[in-house]
Amino acid sequence: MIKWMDDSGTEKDIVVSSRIRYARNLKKHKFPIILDKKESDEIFRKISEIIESKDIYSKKFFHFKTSNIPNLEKKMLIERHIISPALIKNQGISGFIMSNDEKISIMINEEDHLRLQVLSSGLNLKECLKKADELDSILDEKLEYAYHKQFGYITACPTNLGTGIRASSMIHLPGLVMTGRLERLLNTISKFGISVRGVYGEGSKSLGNLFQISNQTTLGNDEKTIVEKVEKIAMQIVNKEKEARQYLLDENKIEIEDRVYRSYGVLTNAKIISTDEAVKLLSLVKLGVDLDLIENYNKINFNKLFIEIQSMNIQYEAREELNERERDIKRAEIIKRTFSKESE
Amino acid sequence: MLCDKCHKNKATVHFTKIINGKKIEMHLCKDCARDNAEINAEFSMENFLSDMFGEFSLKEPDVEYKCPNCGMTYEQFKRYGKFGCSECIIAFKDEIEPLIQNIHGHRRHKGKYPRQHTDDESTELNEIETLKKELQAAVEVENYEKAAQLRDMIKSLEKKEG
Repeated sequence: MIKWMDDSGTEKDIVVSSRIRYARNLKKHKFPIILDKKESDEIFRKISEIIESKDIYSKKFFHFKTSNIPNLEKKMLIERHIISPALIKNQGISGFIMSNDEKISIMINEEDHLRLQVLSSGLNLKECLKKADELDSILDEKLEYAYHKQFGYITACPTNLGTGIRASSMIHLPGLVMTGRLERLLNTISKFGISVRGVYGEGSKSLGNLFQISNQTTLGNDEKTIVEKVEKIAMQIVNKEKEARQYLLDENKIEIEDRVYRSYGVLTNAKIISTDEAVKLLSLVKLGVDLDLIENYNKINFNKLFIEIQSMNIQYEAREELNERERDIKRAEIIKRTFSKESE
Repeated sequence: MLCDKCHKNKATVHFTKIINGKKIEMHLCKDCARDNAEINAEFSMENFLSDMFGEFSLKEPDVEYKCPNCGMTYEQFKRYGKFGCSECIIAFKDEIEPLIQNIHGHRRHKGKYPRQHTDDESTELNEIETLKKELQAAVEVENYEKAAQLRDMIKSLEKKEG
């Protein structure tokens, strides 16, 4: 089960999730790019001890060295957006600490010594910021952070200097994509220092109409200003998406219904289905449910389902390694089961 | 166009490499591209950055100079796009300041600072901010004499901070 994706946050029809990430480094240690195993262990121990000694939202925390985790599990955690591919690349020296509800995690010796992350479902950036800030202050009591009075928190890469903050939201935008309005909107948004990328699929193409927006720069504005800007722009995108959906209902209802029901038909009857196809069709069925074109499925957490049908999560839940064909079969089963369970 | 490597499949990945101003083009099919380490080296901000350093560094040092704390050379930093320790940024300050301006549109951090960092420095920052606002106001009412004074004050404060 994907625990962090619960019922918190607003605008859950359109905003899938929110995330705040802080990049931090320790003054007296070499940065991960030239860090040796011994020193990395020391950093891991230091951070672990602080987390152990404090009560942080009464949450229980698990501590892991990346190299001790089975491969499948590592990749499953990437699909769940809890750890990053870069953490695995550094597995000789890296580790992470994760709360039992998966909402708070600290990657250790990824690109920076610390990457604090707070996740939430829906649009919930301000709450995530509050938690990340508190966690950061707790660590600051015991650690000596690398900081420069002009450049702010010193990060391994100059692109994260200053606040070291990245605020992002994942947004589902089928309406804007179908009405062809997305491109123009994205052009406008990029002028505000916000970057947008597709979540699934390669390059600028996005499968499942899922996009991630985040702040491009980290230095020169304070944390609150940055987060408010991302949230404000996310809200504007949400409103534009709502307008686009209304437009589709007013002008092309039959066509939309047709696409939604065809997708529904394939998803609930398929015996074997690839991730790409499933993500694409789920996006349309989710749209249909959000617009009340399909009834009885309001309880399905589509945002969760998008993750559950990813290859590693399927294998993790099955507790075994599966080849592509076996995964595609399992995926079709999971989808069918989810739909039949919720319609009862 | 056929793949440069296998000469069988259609080339769908087009890759251009520029080394010392010399352009090398590669056209590969999907499969061969997958096996090519250079293409697979993810297009990342860091790679992009290391390409940008050439353009923004003010001087190309003759002697290899390095961070006195961790020993990372400026050349290494340019290649990786990442600092080796918390003091590299001071060692390479002159070179990377224009780059930072270019990335962030700012040169000066605003926001949270660590507990151990003393408050007087942030007061100093606020002072500069206030002066800058006054400067802007002076320019708006075309009081250039006052503006010049303010500009000098800001300069000396910024210099003091280094």
